[in-house]
Amino acid sequence: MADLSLENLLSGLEAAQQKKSKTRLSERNVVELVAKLKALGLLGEELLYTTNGKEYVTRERAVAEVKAAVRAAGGRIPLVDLPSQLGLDLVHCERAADAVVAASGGAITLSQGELFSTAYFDGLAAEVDDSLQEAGVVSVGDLARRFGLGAEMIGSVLSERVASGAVRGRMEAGVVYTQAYLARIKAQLRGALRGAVSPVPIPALVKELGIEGLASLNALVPTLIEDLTAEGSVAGKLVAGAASWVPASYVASQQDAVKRFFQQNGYIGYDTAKQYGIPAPKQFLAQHFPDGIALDSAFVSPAVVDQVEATVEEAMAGGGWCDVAPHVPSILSLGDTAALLAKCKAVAAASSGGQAQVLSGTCVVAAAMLEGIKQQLLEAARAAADEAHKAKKARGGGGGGAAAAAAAKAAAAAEASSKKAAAAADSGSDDDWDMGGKKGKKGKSGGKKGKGGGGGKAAKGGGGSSGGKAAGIQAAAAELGSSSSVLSMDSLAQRVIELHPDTEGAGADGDLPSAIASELRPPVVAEYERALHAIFTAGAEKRRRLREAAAAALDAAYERLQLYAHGAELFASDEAASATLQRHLLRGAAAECADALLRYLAADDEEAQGAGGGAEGGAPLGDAAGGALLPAQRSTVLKHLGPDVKGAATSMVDKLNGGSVEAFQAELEAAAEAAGLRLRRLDKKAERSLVFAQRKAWEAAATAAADPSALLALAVPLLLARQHGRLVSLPGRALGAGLEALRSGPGALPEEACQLLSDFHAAVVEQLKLQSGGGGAEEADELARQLEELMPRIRALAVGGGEAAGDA
Amino acid sequence: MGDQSWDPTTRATVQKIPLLTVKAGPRDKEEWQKRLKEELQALIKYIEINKAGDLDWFTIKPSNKEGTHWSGKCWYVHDLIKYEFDFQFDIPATYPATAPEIELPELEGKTAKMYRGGKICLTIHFKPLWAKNSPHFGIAHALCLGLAPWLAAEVPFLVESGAVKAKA
Repeated sequence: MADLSLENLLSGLEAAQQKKSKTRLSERNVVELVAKLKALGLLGEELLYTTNGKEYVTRERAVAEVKAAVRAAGGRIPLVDLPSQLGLDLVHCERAADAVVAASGGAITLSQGELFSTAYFDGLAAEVDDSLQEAGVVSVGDLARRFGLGAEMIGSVLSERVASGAVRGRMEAGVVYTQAYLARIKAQLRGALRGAVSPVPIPALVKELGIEGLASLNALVPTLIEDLTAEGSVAGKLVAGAASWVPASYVASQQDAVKRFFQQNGYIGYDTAKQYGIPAPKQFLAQHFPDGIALDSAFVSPAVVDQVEATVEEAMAGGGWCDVAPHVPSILSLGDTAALLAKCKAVAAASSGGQAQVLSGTCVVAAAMLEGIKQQLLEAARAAADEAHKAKKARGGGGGGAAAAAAAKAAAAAEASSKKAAAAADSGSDDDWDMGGKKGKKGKSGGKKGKGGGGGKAAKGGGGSSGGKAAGIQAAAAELGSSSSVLSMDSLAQRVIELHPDTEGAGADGDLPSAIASELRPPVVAEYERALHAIFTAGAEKRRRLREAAAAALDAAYERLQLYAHGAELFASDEAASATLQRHLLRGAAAECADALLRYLAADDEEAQGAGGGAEGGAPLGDAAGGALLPAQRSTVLKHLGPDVKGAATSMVDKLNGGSVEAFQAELEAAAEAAGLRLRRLDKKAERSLVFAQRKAWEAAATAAADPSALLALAVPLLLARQHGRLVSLPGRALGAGLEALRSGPGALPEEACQLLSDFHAAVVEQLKLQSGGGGAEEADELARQLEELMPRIRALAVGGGEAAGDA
Repeated sequence: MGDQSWDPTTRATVQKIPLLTVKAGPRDKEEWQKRLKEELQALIKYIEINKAGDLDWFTIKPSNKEGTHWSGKCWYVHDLIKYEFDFQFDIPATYPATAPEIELPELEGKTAKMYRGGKICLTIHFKPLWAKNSPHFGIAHALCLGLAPWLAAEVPFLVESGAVKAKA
């Protein structure tokens, strides 16, 4: 150093300072600098970052690197490998790869995330060619697996190479094979097909050939077979969508078999034909036997029809029946048998001419036989109608609204056959009955309207009787349904069997009897219906009259009951007299009411009437206006009543023996309601007019009365009626209480009149005592004379009123 | 040099500057020439170190042929802006026992850390260090330990106070 001159050193210093300073920017600064440059637009958008963040890469550079990477990797590189190799983000790699592909003009392709160069495919094709020449066949699928490529892609690549000859072979349906290989397969096929005597399923054949794994070669097999057939190397055909091979010899033998069977048996089932391997037996048979008959399940020769026809004719001639089922091939279905029958000329002629009927599918029954059975059944139906009517009467179901309810119930519970019967009953009933029904309805509605009106009574009566009639019809219909013993299908079928035992079990399902029964049932049911109606009509008029009379009697009795009950209230304060009066009323007017109602209820029931009439000493039930019934008669009637009125009626009758008129009235009303009647309560006006009428009647009676006791019994109620405006029915024992009542209260009789009455009462009592006790004649005479004196005065008092009494 | 008054970079740099051996001032004719050569070599070395480390921050050259007056430019980058100043100094007669007093005439009166005539105030550590290392320290050491820390300390302050503005 020391030898360096000062000048040198100075210039050295200069030089050192002139030297460009090595830029040592911090990373941070550089990043900023680059950012600044980008912001200024000097670098453009081309700059990419490496994944480690240490470098910037331009796009051009990235493209170049991708290209280099493809080359380095031997022409194939997955895109996902690029980021790690280039240190660039996958996105940038992809973009670069796209640019490379675009720029390469086809030399480099991007497929399924990998970059391929043409060179790579060439190499691949060469490799494939090698293995192909060695094995004779390679499947594209295998290759795709081997090279890790998509089958489609490798397929397209190979088809290109095959076309250009780089791969020597044929490519078809995903398989590349050599001509030699194809020839071998074909030869194998020829051998196998020639050897086949029965249908060979193609899959089995393929398996034999050892190419079952190669789906695409399998697909070739039908083509090859067709080739072979076309060139005449093998005889036969592919059937069922090329799924099996049927040798010609097999087809011939099969058809022979079918024909033989048909010729021998006169029929052949399609099933059988199918078993022989005829795919469309119907067409096949129709083609080979044009005169045969094609049925649904079998093909039949005309000979069978002839046979059936002969059988039928025979049966027709004998007026009997025949089942054709035994005469046709057993394999025929019911429908087929029926169809066969339809084809028989004799049968067709007979049924259209009404000489026979085909029943139960396979049975031909002569009209003569049917007619015979029908007559028998009609007879039975008439008998059944008689019985049914009797049974109905026995059940007491014919009376009034009660029966209607019962009938409705029965109808609801009836089975399907009974519905049919009811329908038949409706349609079968003649006009009279329809009218009756309508009248009944009208009557009912009229009865409702008549509430409180003057015409209520008549309307009620009409409604009651015709309602009962309508109910009777319903009951009859229900009877039809429930009389299963006579008119049900089963019993009819049973009858048929009894008449013709040979029909049992005949027919398609052994149901010939039921078929005959169902054929004949409508007329039989109609007959039954008609008979029932006839019987019913006979008794109806009488019943209606009875009912009306009974209802009128009931109304009258009820009025009386109400009047007397009202009058009895006068004695409410006198307990003993009140009880006596109540009992008296219950025995008299109340009993009349009960009897009238019972008569009404029993009107429909002849048996009950008969029972009632049979009882000794009682008034006959049939006579509505007749006298009181005996307790025995009442209980008989009650026994025959329908269940819905029975309870109410029974408790009503029970109350007769009680002590309270009011309780009886309540029960009576309940019973009447149950029977479909409506009792009319008296209003004031009606009561007054009735009281007046009764008074007049009593006055007339009093004027005519010769017996002092009778006169007294009339005079006291008459005076009471005049005084209180109420009617009182006084038993002899209560006359004293009656006198007391006359003496007190508003408008009481003058004392003299009362004294006169009580004297007369005492005299009458005395006389009665004497008569019963058998006392002295003198005393009797004395009393008679005394009474004789008093009677005109009393009569004047009773008839003339209070003023007359004063004069007497 | 075991004190902590300079930042590690400065200290590392100073250690790389060759130490001088000739003890001679401007008054010693022959010896001064030798000393001057050594000074120049040290400067060259220092500048090379700076350039290599991208820490170049000054230029310098002797203003007379005796090499007793030196002038140059120094700069400092603050907030990405380069502030450049002229500096000069004389080699004192008692050199190398006495350190040269570096002047920044432009900044005279703009900062308190400055003596009259634009001479910079050096840290209290400088003088003992220089005395301790005399005569081995030279101009390069003076720049490295004197001017560089001063610039680093004062320029940001000057810029922020607005006393100094970037040269457009």
